[in-house]
Amino acid sequence: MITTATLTPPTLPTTGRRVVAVATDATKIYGTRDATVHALDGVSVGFEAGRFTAMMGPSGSGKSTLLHCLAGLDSLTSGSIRIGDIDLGTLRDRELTLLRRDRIGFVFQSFNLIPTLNALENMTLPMSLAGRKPDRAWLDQVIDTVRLRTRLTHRPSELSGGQQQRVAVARALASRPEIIFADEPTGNLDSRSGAEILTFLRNAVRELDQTVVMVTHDPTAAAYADRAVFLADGHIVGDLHDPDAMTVLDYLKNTGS
Amino acid sequence: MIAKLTVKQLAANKLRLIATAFAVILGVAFLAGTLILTDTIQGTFDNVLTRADGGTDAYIRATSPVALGYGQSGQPLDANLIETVRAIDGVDEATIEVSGYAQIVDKAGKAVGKFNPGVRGMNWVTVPALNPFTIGTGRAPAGPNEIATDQKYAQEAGLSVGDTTTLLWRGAPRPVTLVGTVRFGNADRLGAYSVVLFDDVTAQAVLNAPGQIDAIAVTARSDVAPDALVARLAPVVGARNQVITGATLTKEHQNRLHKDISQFGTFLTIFALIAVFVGAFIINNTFSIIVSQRTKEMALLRAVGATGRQVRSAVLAEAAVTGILASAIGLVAGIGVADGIKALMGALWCEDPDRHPDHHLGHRHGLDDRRCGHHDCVSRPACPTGIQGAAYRRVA
Repeated sequence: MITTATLTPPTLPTTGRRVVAVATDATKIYGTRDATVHALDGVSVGFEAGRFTAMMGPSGSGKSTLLHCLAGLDSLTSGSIRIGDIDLGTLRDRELTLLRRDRIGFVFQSFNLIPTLNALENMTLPMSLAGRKPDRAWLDQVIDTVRLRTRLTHRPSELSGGQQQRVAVARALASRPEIIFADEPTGNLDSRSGAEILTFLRNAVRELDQTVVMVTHDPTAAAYADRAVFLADGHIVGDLHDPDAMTVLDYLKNTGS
Repeated sequence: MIAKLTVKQLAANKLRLIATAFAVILGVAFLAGTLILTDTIQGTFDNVLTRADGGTDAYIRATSPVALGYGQSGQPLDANLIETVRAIDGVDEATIEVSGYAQIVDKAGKAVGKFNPGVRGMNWVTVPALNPFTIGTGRAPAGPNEIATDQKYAQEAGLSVGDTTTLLWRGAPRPVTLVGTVRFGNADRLGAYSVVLFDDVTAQAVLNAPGQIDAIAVTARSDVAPDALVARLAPVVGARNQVITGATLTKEHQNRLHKDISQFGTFLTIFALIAVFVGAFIINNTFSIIVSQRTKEMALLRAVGATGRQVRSAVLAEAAVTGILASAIGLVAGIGVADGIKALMGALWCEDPDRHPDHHLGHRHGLDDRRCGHHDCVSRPACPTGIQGAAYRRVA
């Protein structure tokens, strides 16, 4: 049963909020000649500030590729990505690196903490790389949000998976980026820890006014988001606002994606 | 931050750097060891040579038209020259030097001592300042039928003072009496050499030819400088001969020695460079593996905002710290390597020059063999570099 879904791919949302990240006609082709794969086939989508968006779709739908391109970790074959008012396609490697460092947060499925640094050092790594002091008050707020106050001096190996991912979330938040991208952040976690992480991400959006874009294929995870964008075969095939697990499941069933 | 990260990485990953560090340590140790060893040997021999020639203020020998090889003496000098020399004002004492082949037999009639390198005949120098030997038992030889030998040689031949034996020399074997045994410093023989000592006249007849000597060593009166002495002697030694100061003699020995040592050093340095060369591949290889193991971590650093330069400098810093620390350890290990090579040389070929420095004092007496000097090594292969030979070489 189709509920509030718009079946035509949306370009920009219309809530009147500032748009932080925009992909316009984004195309990513892997391989050459006969063996080409269109991971993204002319995707246009925007993400508003202060919203928690889930990107859903089956494996190979292009959702992770889109996320990586939005985060400046990969480049498009054609089309453009803008973060704020910056077109990523015009940036050189170093500028792109600095953009990632200063304006983008990233949460990976596999936590990706530096094993030799403790929790606090991992959280502040992007700022340390920039040679900046973290904003103490903000950092305290982030640490309390992810409830890691007592674990700051622990190494990743001394933390549980859920705690490690909370460190990763804190790292993404700590530099107060314009937008946070999360790639299957609950993929390696048990359901309780996963729920915790999703709660933190939602709290970051609701209480700390952050912007989060998350790739997931778990309808329960998508239910934490304010909006769910559906991809299939490199196209955007749907857009749900205020999704819950049931509507997402229904949507997935009906679109066959 | 990158520096801090480097330090933390190093501290956390000591084990995986061991292979790299080990290769660096080995290479540096061999190279440092070689340099330390050659320098030490050179210093030791320099001292020995300085001591050996210390008593000599002037030295008269034939002018050799060509560079002489090991053990070759120049043209013999006329023995009468020593009277002329003694008459010169400023000469305190003078002695002739003669050396050649002489050997004795044991009670069963068998020749004692290895012909080569070991057995030498020499004249007993009556001037203590110029004589490396001291009497151990009995007395100095006097007359055509008397000999003295070093204590070890007498022992090997089973002879005591007063015993009679047969002398082997260039001419027909003839009976002689052992009238004394001598010591060389604190040792009971001169390195590997067995010496047979004669009085001056007998030495000429047995070892050379009557009236023919190899060289004259002179001491100056205390108020005459060696240079002045040489200047006074120069006009009287004759056109075929030359006179030099003891210092010049020492210098010549040292220079010849340095050449030998530098050959030896080159020989070792080649091995050290091979070690470094091979080591470079090992270092490169292990470090590449270490770096590729960390690709993920570096990618993460890049993803969260480390610039390419920051990641590069982290790796370089890690390499630099590893290299410097390992080099420092290698330098210390090089001292051990130097000792090790020295010990090995002593065991396989050559005498450790530090262990029996007194042995080298007798080199002027024509101990010209380029084989190793020590009795422990007599039956061993020749020293490949002539290091020992340099010290024992005949200087005539």
